[in-house]
Amino acid sequence: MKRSCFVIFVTLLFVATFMFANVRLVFWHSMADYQKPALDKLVSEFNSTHPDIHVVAIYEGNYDQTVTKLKAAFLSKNTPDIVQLNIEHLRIFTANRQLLDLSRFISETPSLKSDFVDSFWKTVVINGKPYALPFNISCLMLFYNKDLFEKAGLDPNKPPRTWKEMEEMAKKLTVHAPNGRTIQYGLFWGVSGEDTAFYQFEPLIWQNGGKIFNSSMTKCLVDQPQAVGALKRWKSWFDKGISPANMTLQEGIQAFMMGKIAMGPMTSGGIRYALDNLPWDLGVAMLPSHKATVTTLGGGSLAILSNISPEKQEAAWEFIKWMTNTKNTLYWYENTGYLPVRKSALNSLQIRLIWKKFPQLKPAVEAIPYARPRPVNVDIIEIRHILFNAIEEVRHRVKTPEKAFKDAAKKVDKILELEGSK
Amino acid sequence: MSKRKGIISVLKHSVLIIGASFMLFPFFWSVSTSFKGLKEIFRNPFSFVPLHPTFGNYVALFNEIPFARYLLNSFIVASLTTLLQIVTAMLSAYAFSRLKFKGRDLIFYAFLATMMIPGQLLMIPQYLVVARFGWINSYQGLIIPYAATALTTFFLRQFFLTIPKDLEDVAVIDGCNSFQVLVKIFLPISKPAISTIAVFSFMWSWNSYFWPLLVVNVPEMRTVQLGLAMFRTEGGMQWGQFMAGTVIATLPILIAYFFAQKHFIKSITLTGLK
Amino acid sequence: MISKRKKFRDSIKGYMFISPTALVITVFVFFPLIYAFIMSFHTWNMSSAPIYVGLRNYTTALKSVDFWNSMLYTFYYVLGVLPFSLVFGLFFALLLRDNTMRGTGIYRVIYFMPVVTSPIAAAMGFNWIFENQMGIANHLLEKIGSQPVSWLSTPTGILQMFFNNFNIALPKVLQGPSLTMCVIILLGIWQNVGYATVVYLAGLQSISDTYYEAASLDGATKWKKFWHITLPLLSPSTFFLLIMFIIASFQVFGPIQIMTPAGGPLNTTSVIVFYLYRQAFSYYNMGYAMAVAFLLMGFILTMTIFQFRFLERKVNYE
Repeated sequence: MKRSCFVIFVTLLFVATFMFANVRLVFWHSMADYQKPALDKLVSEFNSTHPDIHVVAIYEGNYDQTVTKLKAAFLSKNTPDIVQLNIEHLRIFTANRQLLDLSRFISETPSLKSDFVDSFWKTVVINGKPYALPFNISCLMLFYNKDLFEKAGLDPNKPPRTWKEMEEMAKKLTVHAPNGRTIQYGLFWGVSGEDTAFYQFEPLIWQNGGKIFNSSMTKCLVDQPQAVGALKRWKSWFDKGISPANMTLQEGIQAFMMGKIAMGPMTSGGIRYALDNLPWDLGVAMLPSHKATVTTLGGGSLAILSNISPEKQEAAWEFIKWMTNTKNTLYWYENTGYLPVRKSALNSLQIRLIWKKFPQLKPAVEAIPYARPRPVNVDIIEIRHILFNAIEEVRHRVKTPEKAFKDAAKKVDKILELEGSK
Repeated sequence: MSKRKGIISVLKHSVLIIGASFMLFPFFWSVSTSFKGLKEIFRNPFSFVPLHPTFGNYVALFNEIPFARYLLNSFIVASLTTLLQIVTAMLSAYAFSRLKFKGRDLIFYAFLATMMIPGQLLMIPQYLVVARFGWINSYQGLIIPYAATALTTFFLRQFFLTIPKDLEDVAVIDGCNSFQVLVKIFLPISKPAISTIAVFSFMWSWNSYFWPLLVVNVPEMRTVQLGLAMFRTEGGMQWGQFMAGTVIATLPILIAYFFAQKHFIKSITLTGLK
Repeated sequence: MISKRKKFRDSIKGYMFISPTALVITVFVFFPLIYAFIMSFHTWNMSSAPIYVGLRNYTTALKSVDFWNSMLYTFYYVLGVLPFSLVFGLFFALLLRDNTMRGTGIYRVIYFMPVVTSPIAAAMGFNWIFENQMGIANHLLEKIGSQPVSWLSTPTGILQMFFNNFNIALPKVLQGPSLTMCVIILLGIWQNVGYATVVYLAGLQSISDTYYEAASLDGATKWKKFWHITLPLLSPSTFFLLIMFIIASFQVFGPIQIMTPAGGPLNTTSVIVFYLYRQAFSYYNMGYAMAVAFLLMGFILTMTIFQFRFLERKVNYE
């Protein structure tokens, strides 16, 4: 077989790694597309500055797929050493003690914990113990097309601050062709139904003063008036014709990129990609508020598996600590749009330089105080699919908002009840 | 009369050409898109032929993703799987069609029944078995579970049943044992059927997706379909690159088919598939 | 005595010949099957230890609306793909049966191309054609002056769409596959027609000319010949295709996962294997997923046995 060149090269590479590196760590992640080069760069820099540790970074699909792969890997005892997990998925693995409790390492460096942004830190603490370090945290922001704002006679530097303003602007930004067909929509509040389902809808409920679960996570509250109200409002955007009713999320993003939709919620982790690839001027703003000002906190963290040797644990800790240090979290922020996770980074001089270069990155940092982590439990993926289906039933006019959320809450309650009995 | 014949022939051809364009259009459209730059796709996605043809998508594809490696993996896995399936099917089909042994029919029907099991049902236990053998991330793990299938056995058995007994009787008188009969008599006669199995096994293996997804978690071992699907989930709107990927993933199997198609169509005719 | 010994030797030989196949099938099919069967009586999330729950998974499935909806959508898919693939396959085979006609070889090659294409790649191609904003399907619609269609996000059944013109609301079962499902069905037909064509061509070639000659003498019309000779004598091919397509269509998954990763608008493309996959690999309800799989398997098995018992009688083996 004529792959000798490649094989020799790979073998040499492996030999070299084994000869010079004492500890080899396998690191699974979900950073694809534009985020992957930035991550690879960080990893290779870590390797060159840490001659006794060698980290191999492997992309394993999106967050949900990584969970599946990791579950399967545990069955076959073929686990990696470090894994990037969505903060919402940590519990799936801590429930069976598959992730390393980081308390020991944290207590060795007390200054570390206090330097992480408090609300980010909370997302990795489960039952009082930290199981990961926040790494790529994002919040949901409003992306808008400044060119279209200008064309519609709106001030491109004054994005909507409330739902009402957003609706008014969206109406002005909706353009009809002479034959009555809509050729440009003002708004598309798309909600994902697959990986991180229901993500974009949660802040609407919160902004309307509602909650998705009660505080002990034993009851689903989407059948309450606040949540139903949010759903009604969301539906009205389609009914008024300012938002396209029959588009998948992906098609909506596509249309937004092509300049056929003026506004929509997107994760801050995509800001840099958008800046580099959009042919028009991008504006980024805090989500418009209603009764409350709030946005969703999402993203991933770096965790160490509990079944690896103490020596590897030390090395892995070194790695995840390094990945989240002030300098690297800023690099990561500048190249992706994921938020800096350290207070020292937020207060640094460099961040001002970054804002000068990419002013659109700044609003995401300003949104941090308003960002709320998503409620989580072990069955969260299934529950979110149920909630997503409920709003889809409303969008496609199969059910009224009241009925859809009432039915969904019933279904979710059943799952929560089963979970409690386990 | 001849004029009428001419009209009928034209009519026939036009219907067939309409059918053929329906069959060909998705291929054509994928290939065309794969040579368009992002800008052209955004600005004018509908020109049938790329106005500014570019290899950019292919270059990016091979730069960003080790597609060459994926192709090689798929090739190794598909060829070995095919080879093993032919060998195992030859042996068992011979036994089921010519040898008499206890429980033969029972075993045969038990094998047949496995065709009706949804693949996804077995994946997790299969995965556990492969893990126990230490075959995660290995060619063995990708190949051995599919080294023998009920379908190929069934197919070849049906073919063997149509081979007249006299042929082998002569060979037996000449002192051949069963194995020699199989190699010297059955193998040459069954070439068309075997090439059918070869095409189908290769195609099936080349196109399989779920099993590799589960068994492989290092990039060096990924197959083309896995690379393609992962590329898709990585998001973004790189339609030009997606289409370049589908072209690359499809081309080898199409080439293989073009070379084997004569055998293929002939063998279906021969077996009659009764 | 000798014959007994020979019998024994023959048996050993038989076992040796089937041993490679038997080994693989035992280890990678029968054992997993038993494992899965046992698991279907447990709840298991792949991480914690399995808990025995008796028949609960089965009863939950049979009581679940989602399960039955998935069965319905699977039926839609099968009923959409099967007849069209057979009819078009036969149609093209009849046109191509004349070997003296120019270009038959090329047509055959072209018609079979979709069959060998990977479902993943084919689904991506169709996805691109039917994309809302930049898909060529909508572009062509606009060219002829109609409204663009949301191919991949319209949950309304096509029969219901038709009856909407008369303001009639059909019961759910009669609404038909959603438009999105129809696109996936179209993909299925596209991938199957070539196969049916080739199988029918083979069948046609095995029909002896003497039947037609005899019929001509009796003064039979072309239509009568087709109805009374061709179709009955092709029944073995039809039967074979029926079995193959049904087994494959009931297990469709790849294209659905690629084209509608979230299960389509209102889950209308969530066929049974998609449902099963989600339960297993998104929700980690392994035991439940395996119970669903066994229900599906029982279903396919019953269908196949039914076909063999009742339909095969009508098959005309020469």
